[in-house]
Amino acid sequence: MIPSKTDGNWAKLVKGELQHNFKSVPAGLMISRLHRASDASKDQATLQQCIDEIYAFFEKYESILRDDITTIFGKGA
Amino acid sequence: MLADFASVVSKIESGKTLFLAGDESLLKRLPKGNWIGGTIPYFMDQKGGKMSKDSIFMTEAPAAASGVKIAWYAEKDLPRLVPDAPENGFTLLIIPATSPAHISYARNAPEYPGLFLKPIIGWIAGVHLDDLGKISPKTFNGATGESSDAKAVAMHLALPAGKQASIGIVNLFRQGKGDVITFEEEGFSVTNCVVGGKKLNFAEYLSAKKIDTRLPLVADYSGTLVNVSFQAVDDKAKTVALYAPVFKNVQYRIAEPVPDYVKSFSAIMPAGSVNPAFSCNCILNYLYAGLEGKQTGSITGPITFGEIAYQLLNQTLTYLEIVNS
Repeated sequence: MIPSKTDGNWAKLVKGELQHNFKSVPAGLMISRLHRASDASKDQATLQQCIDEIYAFFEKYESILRDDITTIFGKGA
Repeated sequence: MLADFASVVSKIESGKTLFLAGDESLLKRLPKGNWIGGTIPYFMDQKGGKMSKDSIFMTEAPAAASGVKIAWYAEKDLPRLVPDAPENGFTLLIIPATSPAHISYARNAPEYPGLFLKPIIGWIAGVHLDDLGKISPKTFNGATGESSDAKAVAMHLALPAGKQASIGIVNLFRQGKGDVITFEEEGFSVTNCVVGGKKLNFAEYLSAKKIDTRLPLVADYSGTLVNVSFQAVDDKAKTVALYAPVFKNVQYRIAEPVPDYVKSFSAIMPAGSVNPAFSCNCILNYLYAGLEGKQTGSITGPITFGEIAYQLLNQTLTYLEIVNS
């Protein structure tokens, strides 16, 4: 089960405040693009859009991101 | 597998869904069917790297795949790739090298909405190196028998519940310990770079540092290492041409040398460690590492002018696996 979008780690992940090396190729490519997007436009709407995007990705690929989810959100996730 | 013309014809006529790579003279004579293809005469076969204008590299679509849809994508249509792809499945994309579609995909694909939610794997079609500038690389739509030197061709395939497409890469290059290099301009051709806060001419920088331009620029995308390979350094015009665009706000370093490509490859990916449904490797690895006649584990496929794992990659082996979800 992935944490809700209100979990602060999603925003940290998108903004690059929480560094994580993904084994999954699309996860790494995507989070880097979201870093650049949130860097370029620091408004709340862009941040929320980026969180929505990464959340949708994690939701779809939860089974192959299990280890990443545990590392990023802790063992409770 | 590398196959002769008659064997490929037979497979097409039996109704198999195929991804093909070969010389234009062969692809244009194939019958219509469930296939797409691109031109290239370089391959990695079970026996090693090989140049052949008499053989076609034939990959059968995974048995679990269904609902095959083949479509052309001109430059302006490329953003449609993601919405056209199935919710669960994958897309095999082939783009002719140096075409407007190639340039556009390289620059803009990372920004396509939802790109990373739908697996897209593929390659950039090319030609024999002796034919560079004489013959244009082409893509083929087997369903219609048409070819193009301008448009990308894609095959969208659906997978059943319980199966998922997973795209992996093998990049033997690591970021070296040299300078962090950034760019204020994006694109395949750059004039200036920024190193240590100073704006420098990139061609002069490469020359002053005696950089081996067979080594790519490498960026670390949160654990995924992405290369940008050098095409040419023009010392007169003071510009540097690249095989993929550089992007703003990305930190690059020149790669560390790879002393023995084949040995390093086997160490990273022992034979049998993955079971690819499709794979391809880069012509620059083939050339610089002297892969003709040498094997890279059990991974086979076309040797290409660029690899696609969602976005354009350089000097990177790219593969697709079908896994249980």
